[in-house]
Amino acid sequence: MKLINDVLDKQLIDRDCRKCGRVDGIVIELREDEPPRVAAIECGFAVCARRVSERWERFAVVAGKRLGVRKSPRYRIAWEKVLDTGLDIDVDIDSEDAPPLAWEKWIREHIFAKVPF
Amino acid sequence: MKNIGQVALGVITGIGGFLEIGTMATSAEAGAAFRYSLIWSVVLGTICLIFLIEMSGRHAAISKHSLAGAVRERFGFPFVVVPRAAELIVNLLLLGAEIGGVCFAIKLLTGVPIQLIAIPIGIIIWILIWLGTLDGIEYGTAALGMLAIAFVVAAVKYHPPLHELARGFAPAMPHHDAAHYWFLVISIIGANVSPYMLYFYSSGGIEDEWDEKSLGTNRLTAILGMGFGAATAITVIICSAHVFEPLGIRIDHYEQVAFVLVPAFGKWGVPLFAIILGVCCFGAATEVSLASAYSLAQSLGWNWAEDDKPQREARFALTYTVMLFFGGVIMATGIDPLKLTMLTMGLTAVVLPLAIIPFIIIMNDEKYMHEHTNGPIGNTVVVFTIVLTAIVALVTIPLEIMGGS
Repeated sequence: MKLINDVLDKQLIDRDCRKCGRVDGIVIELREDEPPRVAAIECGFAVCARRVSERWERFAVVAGKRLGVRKSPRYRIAWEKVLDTGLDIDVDIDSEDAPPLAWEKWIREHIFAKVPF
Repeated sequence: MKNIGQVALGVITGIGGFLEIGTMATSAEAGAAFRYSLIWSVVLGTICLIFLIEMSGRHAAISKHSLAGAVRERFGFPFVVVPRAAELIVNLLLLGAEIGGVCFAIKLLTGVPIQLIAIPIGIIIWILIWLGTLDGIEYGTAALGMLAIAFVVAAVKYHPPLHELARGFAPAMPHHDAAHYWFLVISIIGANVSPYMLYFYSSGGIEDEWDEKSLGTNRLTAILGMGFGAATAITVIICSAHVFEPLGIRIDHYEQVAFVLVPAFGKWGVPLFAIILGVCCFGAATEVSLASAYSLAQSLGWNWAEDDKPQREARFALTYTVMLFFGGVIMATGIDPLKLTMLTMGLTAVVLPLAIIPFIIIMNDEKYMHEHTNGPIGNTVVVFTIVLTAIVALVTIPLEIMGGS
């Protein structure tokens, strides 16, 4: 598998077939006397922003803390939770109550809940 | 039979959906200022659009990837930031112009000022998107947009000199006002080849679960739909050339364009024009706001589908909500809708390479397209037109703003 080609930036699909973001980063663990291994995939706006510049990353972290919808501007999914890396990346998580869909839930409950139809 | 029905619907969408504020404004100004001399740029823009629409449908059917999603996967997040931001800004201006078109149509019919109804119109479009389905919105507005055939009837009634009309199909250098001529060329191409159309069309293809069997229908729809649509746009040039050019009228306000059908339809000319403009701009406004939401949601991996409940795709729904609100606000500031339209068409021409070139690279990548990659003709026509248009736009927009020639 080519990590950059086959994993990075791909669509994440949770166990209920919901789109729950994209693979914004890959966490590699360096081990002594052993080859490195993929520990996790990362998502969140701070991870995206880091790939543009450190300044954007700092801005994303500060903005994320101020808004306070997500507990952290970064979210890691252990590589063991990755089920398939085909067209999309299927992960064994329930994203409904997890950080990837925190904004989705917040908008639904705080903005669209008041829509009468 | 099902395929014939799909093509027929595509043709109706092409005729009814092709005309919008940009096509209407640029065609009317082109006819008034240069008679039939700029018909060739509608033809060039349409050929380019036919190739691009066919490609975006083929991409949806074969790769199964969303268009914006594929660009992000292929080029990475840092690459997509600038093109996506540029597209969203241009889409917002375009949405403001389309809402302005609807408001102007209502103003023509009722006399209510544009500033007063801009935000309510945005809210009405939002309610339609919120409650409606993709097919319902597309075919409903397109069917009403068939009234645009009135331009074809008027063009025939005006008896254009056929030899002069035929000459308009061949590119030629201008005899006067060169900067304005070339600005109109790029504005016409910008009005025809708006990137939002590709996102809208390809997202519709994914929502309708197109596959390899849909390729023939897709190709026919692209050719016939866009071809008939372009023919309608050309009739706007013919009508404008007949009505305004002999009087030496240059189009500075939409109020002037409203009289383009009067010699053909008498007292019904202005209301008919208002209804066509209103319906076409209403349809285009729904498409622009949805296309913006599609491209952002697909780039960031959010849930997206117009046919699903908006609460399930809250971020997708919030995107078109915000776009419509600010589109309405732009018009509520009192900006001249015609000036905004012309500026937006020029800017669209500038950002075209940012949106189109990455797409063309993906269309040539076997990883996505398997054995259905682009041929050399499609690649050449699209890249040549887009790059040349952007270069000319960079030169002519400052000249147009400064009023030079």
